[in-house]
Amino acid sequence: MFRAVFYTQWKWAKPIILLGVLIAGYIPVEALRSMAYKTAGVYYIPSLYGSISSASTGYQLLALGVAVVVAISAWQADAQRQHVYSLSLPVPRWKFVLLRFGAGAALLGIVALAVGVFGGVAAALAPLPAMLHAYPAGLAVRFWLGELIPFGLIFALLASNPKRVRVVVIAIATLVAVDFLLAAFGVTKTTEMTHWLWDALYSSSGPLAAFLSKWMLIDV
Amino acid sequence: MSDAIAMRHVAFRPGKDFAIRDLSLTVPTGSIYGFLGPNGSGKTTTIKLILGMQEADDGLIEVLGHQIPQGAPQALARIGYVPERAHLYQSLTVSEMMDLHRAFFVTWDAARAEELRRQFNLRHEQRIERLSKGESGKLMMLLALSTRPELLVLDEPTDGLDPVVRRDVLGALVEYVSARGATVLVSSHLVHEQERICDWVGVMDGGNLVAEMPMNTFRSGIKRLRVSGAPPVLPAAPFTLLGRSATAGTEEEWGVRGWQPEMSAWLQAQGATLRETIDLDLEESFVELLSTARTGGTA
Amino acid sequence: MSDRRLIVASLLVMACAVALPAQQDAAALAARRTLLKTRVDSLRAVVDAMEAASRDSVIGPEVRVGTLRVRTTALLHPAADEAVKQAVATARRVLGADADLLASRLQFTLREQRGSQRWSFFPTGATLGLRANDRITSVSLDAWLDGKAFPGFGISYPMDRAALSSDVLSVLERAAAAQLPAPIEPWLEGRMPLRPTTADFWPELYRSLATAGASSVRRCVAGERSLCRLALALDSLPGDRVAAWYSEADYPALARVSGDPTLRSRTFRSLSTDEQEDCTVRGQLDLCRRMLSQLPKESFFIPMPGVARASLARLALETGGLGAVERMRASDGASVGAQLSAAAGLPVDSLVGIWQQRVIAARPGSPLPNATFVLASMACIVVCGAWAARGQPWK
Repeated sequence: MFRAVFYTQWKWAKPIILLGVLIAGYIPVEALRSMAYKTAGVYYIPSLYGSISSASTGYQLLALGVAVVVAISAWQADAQRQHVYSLSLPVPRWKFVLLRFGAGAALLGIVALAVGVFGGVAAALAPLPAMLHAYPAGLAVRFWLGELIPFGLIFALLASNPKRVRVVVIAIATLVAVDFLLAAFGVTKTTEMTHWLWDALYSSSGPLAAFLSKWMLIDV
Repeated sequence: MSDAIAMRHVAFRPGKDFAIRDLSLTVPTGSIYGFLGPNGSGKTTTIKLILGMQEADDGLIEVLGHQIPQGAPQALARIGYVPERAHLYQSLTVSEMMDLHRAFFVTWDAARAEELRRQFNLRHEQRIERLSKGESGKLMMLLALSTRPELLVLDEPTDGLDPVVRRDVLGALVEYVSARGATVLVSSHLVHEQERICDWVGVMDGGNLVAEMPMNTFRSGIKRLRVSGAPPVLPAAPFTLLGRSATAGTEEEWGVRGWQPEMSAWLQAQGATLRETIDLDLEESFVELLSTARTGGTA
Repeated sequence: MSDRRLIVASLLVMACAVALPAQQDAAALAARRTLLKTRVDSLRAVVDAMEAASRDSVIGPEVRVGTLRVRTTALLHPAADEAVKQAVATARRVLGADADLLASRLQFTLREQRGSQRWSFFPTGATLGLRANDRITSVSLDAWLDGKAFPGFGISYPMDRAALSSDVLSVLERAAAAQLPAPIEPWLEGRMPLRPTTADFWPELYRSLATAGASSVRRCVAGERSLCRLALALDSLPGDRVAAWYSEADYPALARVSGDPTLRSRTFRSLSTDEQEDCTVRGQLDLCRRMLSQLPKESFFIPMPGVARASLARLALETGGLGAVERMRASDGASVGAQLSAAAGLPVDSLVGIWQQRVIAARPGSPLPNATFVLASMACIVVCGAWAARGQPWK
């Protein structure tokens, strides 16, 4: 059952997964070969560290982009046909949803694996200075978790009915709009009304922690 | 198991403009139940309630012995469903769709599926989005029949299909039913088609089941009488008077159910004269029934 | 202030214009100069009085924390009270009783700045088109040490108490450093390290030192203590800074980044572009040496970053405990290392060793996400999955 669901989602998400794999291969090459300043095969360490930090942003954008597209592609075919086929299958709805979720997570794992493999190969071939080491496995895990969070959010929204999605989107938009209006009129500081929410979201143990830290292929 | 489908006092309100109120419907096991009704009468909504795709606000639904919606997955494993509009994943090929369907149904008969595929002239590598309406209909029927279901639920299965395709689809259906003795619930507004294959009929209108009876009874039971000289108020009759309308002078046309020729004596006793007995075909019976239901008469 | 300066300048010009016709003899000229000087002095006194009046024009309750006084308005008083208490408490932890002594010489005013304001929306900056006059647009903090002004601070309104506390502490840091003797005062870049280090300070310090451009810094963090002293410039600055602080592998990058970028063409005029690239691109060391020799020694700063030096100084003060600051102040004329040693009450090698070990021990751990991060992420993912599983597309 999972294999069949995975195959269909692979078919729908294949272009973005392949593109993600290609980009996962390109980023470390660009960071280690083109961006970092090197003279006669020796890296200028601050430049190398700077280019790896920039690559970190590239990885985060890649994770976000792949996650969003995979989440949308998971439900697009069902949404076009009002979910009739999936609802007519002899599995509970929650099980079917989890099959789709698992298939999406596995697809995202392919790109994460590519990040780890390509990063590891690129770092292994580069003349790294003594104080710096490559961490492709750590990067791959962080990348995969960083993909799963936006994937989960969008997947959950799309699995719901349109009314629930509207309620959630309108609630968030209202909260943000009211906060900005109050700040613009000087009633409060910019995010004081929702600071507790931003603090929770952006704290080191919050759901966006993956995007706060740097996703460094090479570090001390 | 006495009935394949049993609905008792079901109520459902999907929107502001339409509601199903106090619907009770029974599909006997082994029957071919024709679900008739005009467009927008609630047939598709009722089918979705039966399959557990929608949850009723009130009432009881039992399908193949399973309570719906709690037991819907268990029931759906024994049901073959062909919806009104194609519900297949457009970007897949015929063989990919068959593989996906097979993964969910343990009763999948691969040999039968392949046989039907050849019979319907569908190629493995055809993309579903490139299939014609007829080919889509055939593929949906293939998927439904290949799971060896005990209950087939078909929502307008031949709607929009040309006669040749319609013949193929209905032929496969009849062959399956006669070989397996499966129960079939087929919804359609094509009354003539229902007349040929169904042995039970339920008529839906405006969210209500206005009639439910064996097809023979339905077919033969409704007649139109031309009567003259009948008094305005009549006592209880030995037949069901569906409705009466004036035509010319003292003549009237009556829609009746359960009429027997010897009942003309009762008419004479009321001072009325039977001018003519008109037999109605199924479609005319259907229209007569609906007219009566809409004007508040007794169906 | 700008209005007052303009008035003073105008008056001075007028005063000078009076003195222009130089037709009198020397005695008369001298008399006129004396008169002019008297007038300028009196004008300066007017300016000082105006500034003092402006300070005194802040009518409202005074915030007093120990000997530190902040004159402010009734509106700002509550926030200022809390912020200043925090700043003084932080300073006392390092300076001890010295903090109050220092604070008694400081004067602060915290004033509302009013003006007209257009409301704008973040982030596009588009304006709403409404204007309000006489709104509080910001708050200004001004400080004087023995009557001499420090650069002021502007704080947005509504006021962030943490920002105000930080600014008061910055003044205390500069004031405390101003009391230190050379060479430690410039070594600390004019700021006494009064702020405590945060939890992620040491790992980030390790990271920045391990990826520094100078090999002496990197080798210090790798464990070579002698190079720590060199990179920290605890003794006198070396004659040949390049040879002392950098390895040959650093030369091409050093030649590329050192010196004033606007003067490079003039600095390296004796070398063609190809020769320069032979160093910076192809790594030819003899050409790199030539380039580096043409840069003044002041182009090569102490390679250990200021934050690292401040952390060593703070360690010395924490280790030295009571009286550490006085001992540091008293070691006038000694090297930086000796001054730090006096403060800490330890030999400088021991002090550097403790500091080095602390940096090395703070090396960031496993690059794999830590347990908290993983659990938080998984919790979010599970919540999303559960929410999705409960979703019904038609309800």
